[in-house]
Amino acid sequence: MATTKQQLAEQVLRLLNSGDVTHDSSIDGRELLLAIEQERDRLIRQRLTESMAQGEGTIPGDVISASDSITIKKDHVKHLLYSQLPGRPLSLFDDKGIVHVSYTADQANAFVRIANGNLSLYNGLLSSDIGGRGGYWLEGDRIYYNSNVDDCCGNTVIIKMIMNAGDVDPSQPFPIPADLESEVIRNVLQLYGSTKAVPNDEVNDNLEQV
Amino acid sequence: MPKDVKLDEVVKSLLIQHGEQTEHKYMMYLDVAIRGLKELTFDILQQIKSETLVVNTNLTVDLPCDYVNYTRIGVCRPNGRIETLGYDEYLCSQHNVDYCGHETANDFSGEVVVSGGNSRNGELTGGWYGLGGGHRNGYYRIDRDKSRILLSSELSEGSIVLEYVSDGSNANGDMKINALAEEALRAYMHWKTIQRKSGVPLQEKEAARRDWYNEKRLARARVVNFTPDQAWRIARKQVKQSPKF
Repeated sequence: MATTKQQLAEQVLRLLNSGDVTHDSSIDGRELLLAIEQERDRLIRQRLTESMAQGEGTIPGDVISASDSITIKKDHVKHLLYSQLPGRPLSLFDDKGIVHVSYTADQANAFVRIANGNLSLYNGLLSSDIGGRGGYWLEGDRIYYNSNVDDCCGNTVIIKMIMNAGDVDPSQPFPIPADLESEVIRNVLQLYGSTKAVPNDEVNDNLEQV
Repeated sequence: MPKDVKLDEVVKSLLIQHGEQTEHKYMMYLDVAIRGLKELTFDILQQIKSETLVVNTNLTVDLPCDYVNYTRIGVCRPNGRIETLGYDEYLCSQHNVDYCGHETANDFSGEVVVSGGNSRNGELTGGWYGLGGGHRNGYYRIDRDKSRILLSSELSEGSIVLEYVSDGSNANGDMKINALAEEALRAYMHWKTIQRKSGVPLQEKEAARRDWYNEKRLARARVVNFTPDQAWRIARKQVKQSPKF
């Protein structure tokens, strides 16, 4: 069964409290969720960057989140078509945080990524049309499409991306390689273990008690 | 005859070869591929295209976007032959503009100083007195600046046939390369994609450059269609029958 963020946080909490967790525990589960998300993103980014530096460009499927049937909307100010991303993508070189964009029913013809700001650079060049293929560029929490993408006939898109862990529902399967789970737990434990050892200043008297 | 290969196919296969696995760099590679295609077309493929172009009202014809140089400009006659036009360096590239801002055709009236042409029973019997040698039924001049061909008035409301050297590109993006030159294009793309990268060792760049020139040489040898039969015919061209004494 796939692990969820919630399960990982509970595991760390139990380890920190050496067993059952009481209500007066100084560390909250939500705090741990945040730490787990941050640690997972850091480790995945590190792992992918290392493999890319070695010339290995494959993105493992177990870190990818897929969202299908995303609608194509119209930006009436920019006169462009766009889709709202289901979450923030991990920031990687060449926008590799977004792995795949295509029409939902036609995954064999993926849209080609255009670097943001390259519209002007390629303007007037034969390559600007990308051989008639659909293209997209990432801008904040949206992806904008080139003129080869059509919003007619109820067209929707599928977006596969390495989603920022914070945007994954805590109760949904957490996109993390199984071998990375223990590393995430260990690192979060290490972080919070040291804070537990430090005495807490519980009196609010403008004097720091160490 | 080997089939042509789509540029899209070459780009995708090179991306895979480079270990990219995704199409994030597709656009950059495609741009390099188009440059490579042009390079190979100039040097090796020598693609000659023929197009029938409609003459505009201002007696000009727009050049195709992949035009490099012309090999023949003429008019297609009913007998299936192209009647070539004459080059006239005095055709004016400036046009008058009408009240709508559109260029109008230059006025050629009163220019021809020939008398008649005789006919009998509706059939032309020649005799264009006063006409110099080398006369053509229409003249042209290339206006590279405005990417068009200027024509004389004989060609108004018609069309011309343009045979030209193409750079191999195609405005609709559906570009192809001769399968015999595919490997050369791949070598070119590999060299160009690493040429300006500071992280790539100089030896590797040099090896890629040599590989490109080597592949180009191979492609030229493959593309040239010189058969033993052609060699045999050329060698015997001067051998003629004559009476034996």
